[in-house]
Amino acid sequence: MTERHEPVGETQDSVLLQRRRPIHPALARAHDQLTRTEPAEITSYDRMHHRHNRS
Amino acid sequence: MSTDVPDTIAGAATFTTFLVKVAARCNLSCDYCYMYKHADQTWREQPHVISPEVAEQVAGRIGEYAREAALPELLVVFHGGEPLLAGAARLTWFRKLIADALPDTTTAHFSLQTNGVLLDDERLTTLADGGIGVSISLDGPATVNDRHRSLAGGGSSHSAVMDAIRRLRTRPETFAGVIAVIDPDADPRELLEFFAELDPPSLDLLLPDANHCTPPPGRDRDPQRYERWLVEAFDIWFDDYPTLPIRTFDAILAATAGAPSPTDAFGFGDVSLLCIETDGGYHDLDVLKITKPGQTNLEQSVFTSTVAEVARSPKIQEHRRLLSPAGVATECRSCPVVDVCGGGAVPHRYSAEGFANPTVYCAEMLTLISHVRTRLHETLQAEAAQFDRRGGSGRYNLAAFDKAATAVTITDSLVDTWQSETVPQLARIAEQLAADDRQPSSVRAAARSLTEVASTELGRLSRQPSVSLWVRAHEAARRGQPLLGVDGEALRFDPTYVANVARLFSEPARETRIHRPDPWLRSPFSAPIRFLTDDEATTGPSRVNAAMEWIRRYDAVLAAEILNLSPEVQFVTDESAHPDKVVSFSDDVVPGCLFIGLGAHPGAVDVYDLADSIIHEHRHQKLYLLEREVDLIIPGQPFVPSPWREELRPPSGLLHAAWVFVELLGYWRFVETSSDVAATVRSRAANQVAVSTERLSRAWKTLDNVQTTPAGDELILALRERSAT
Repeated sequence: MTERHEPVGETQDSVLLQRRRPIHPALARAHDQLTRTEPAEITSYDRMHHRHNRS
Repeated sequence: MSTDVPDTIAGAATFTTFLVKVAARCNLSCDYCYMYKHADQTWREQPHVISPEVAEQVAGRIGEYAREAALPELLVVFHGGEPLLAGAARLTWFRKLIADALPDTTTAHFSLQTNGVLLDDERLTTLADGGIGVSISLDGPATVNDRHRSLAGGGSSHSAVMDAIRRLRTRPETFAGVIAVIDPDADPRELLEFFAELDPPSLDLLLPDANHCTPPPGRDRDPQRYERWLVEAFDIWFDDYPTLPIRTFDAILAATAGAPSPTDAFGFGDVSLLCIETDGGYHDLDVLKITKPGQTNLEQSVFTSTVAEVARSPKIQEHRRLLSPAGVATECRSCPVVDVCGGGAVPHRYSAEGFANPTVYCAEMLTLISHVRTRLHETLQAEAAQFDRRGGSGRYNLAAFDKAATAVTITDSLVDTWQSETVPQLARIAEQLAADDRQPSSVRAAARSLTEVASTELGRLSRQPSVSLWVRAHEAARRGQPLLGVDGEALRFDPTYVANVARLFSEPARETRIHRPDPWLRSPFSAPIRFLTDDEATTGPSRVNAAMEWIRRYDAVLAAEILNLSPEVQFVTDESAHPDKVVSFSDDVVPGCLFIGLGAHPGAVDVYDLADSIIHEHRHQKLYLLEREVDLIIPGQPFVPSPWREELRPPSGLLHAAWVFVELLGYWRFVETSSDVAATVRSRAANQVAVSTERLSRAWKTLDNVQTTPAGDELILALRERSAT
């Protein structure tokens, strides 16, 4: 329903997380989220999942 | 968070998700359903399914809006009730109607959220062929799911849903994920084990919808039950199932670290979803039906208004304000986690006085976010410490390590470190076997002889490739995790091999062992790799010795290094390879063993090529030795092109190749300039030099874009400088 656009401020952990991709798989996904260059997921509606077929 | 925030939201919302209710009834009767079991009962007045007339009008309105708002992308979600009650064929017809109404500049995605009970093969095929993704609702194993998700007429829905998921797993392009509602009476470990086994492409764990008028089930008798459950489930996931993509937990981790929240459940944001009921009426977020009758109704429909007009409606504007920092409750503004929580899901903030409250799950959000912050911080710090320890620069002089002439003290140090692990392991195995009455006397005697060996000698022994593998197989079995060979087969520890180990001890040190029929050198490999028969390998030892003599001429210290670090040679052939291609390889599963191809006939691999193969495979072994102690490449990066391979390689594989070919470049330069070799060989050497130089230059460019540790940077710099000289 919402496009979240108000990230929290940069913290020591967020800097560390952005600097390199962690080994821990969940943190690696968080790193990808923080450093991604493509547009955000089209929806944040959490009562469904959708497959996004962006190339 | 700043309290200096505007009271109103400028402009209109931009809708990019259209939640189209194609059916207003359901074939399940879930006790927590936000559509049917909460405050708003207006579903009773809605048409059971969407009519063709309404569908056509909806498609036209979405197309019209996509054009006006110049939407590059939008999502249509077919929702209910149970949307499959409208019929799969009608949904694909509706999808086409909407797609045809859109401008060419808009890309549309279509999804369906279903309980899965009606998702048989035929319907799934229709949806998949129609380009509609499918997301399933399922709360967990039958014992958990059936507490809340019973069929409308009573009875379990679980087996039908599991059948649907099994079908969906055969359609990965269509299967979008699973939504589960949390029951804090469910064992979180059992739940995560179940979903890990199910392996959905995405999973969400949603809190039961509640607000201050209708509090979370059971919390009155146990106020911390949701907090405890969330923290326990998060820890189990984070520690044991972190590859399972759980949107809620992934989102909270990312948001805690500073990324925008990608979910409705928490975080600031803006309205981007418009709901359209089966009668064509425009509605706000459907979950707001848990607040009061009519809360979602925007009092306009596809027959009266455009989507753009609805985007400016007062209710949508108020909803936008609630999602902004201005919309959170006064007490939230000074909360330490409000930047992550954003006041919580709007429907969960509701009380009889309105929405100016913290979410009814405030305590749960505060506890979970604080816990996630701690876990994030601790894990990042631990990884950083490991990174600094294993990947930091300056621990070893890697330029010195590269060249045999200057590497001895470093390789000795690395070997010492390696042995500090393996020697106690070998000693323990010997002690255990010596004292094990179940073993034959020959095994106990051999083991006993090893218990009397000095630890320095055990060190030499434990480094023998076959012994090293044998010891690791024992350690793996002790941990209950069998060691796997390159072919994926488990390598079973064999106590009787201790006699071979004792025999190896009595043999002279520092002598290359050639083509010993030792199972612990050969067992990790199977077809198409074949070990040469003794007859086929007859010429091998003399040829290896000749090649080693030639390597000594190139670099006597390198030859000594090979004898020290790579003391075993096995002759192999790859029966899947082209007959003209001679395959050699090494693998860290057997540290220090070189697997060398001799070619179909002696002329196929001459002494210069054989020396090349030995140096090549030894260089891999030398780098494996370093990599046991030092991280060079940041893991998890995509594969990259390698000038030496047709297929993409992991970045570590490319670094290995560059590491090998820098040495071989020096070797072939030596051959090229050796006056006593035939002109044809010098010409071949010149070609090798030219090809390797060109490929290395491409490798450096690729490695420039690979994330390396400081140690990796240092090594690559040393290799580049050496290759340029």
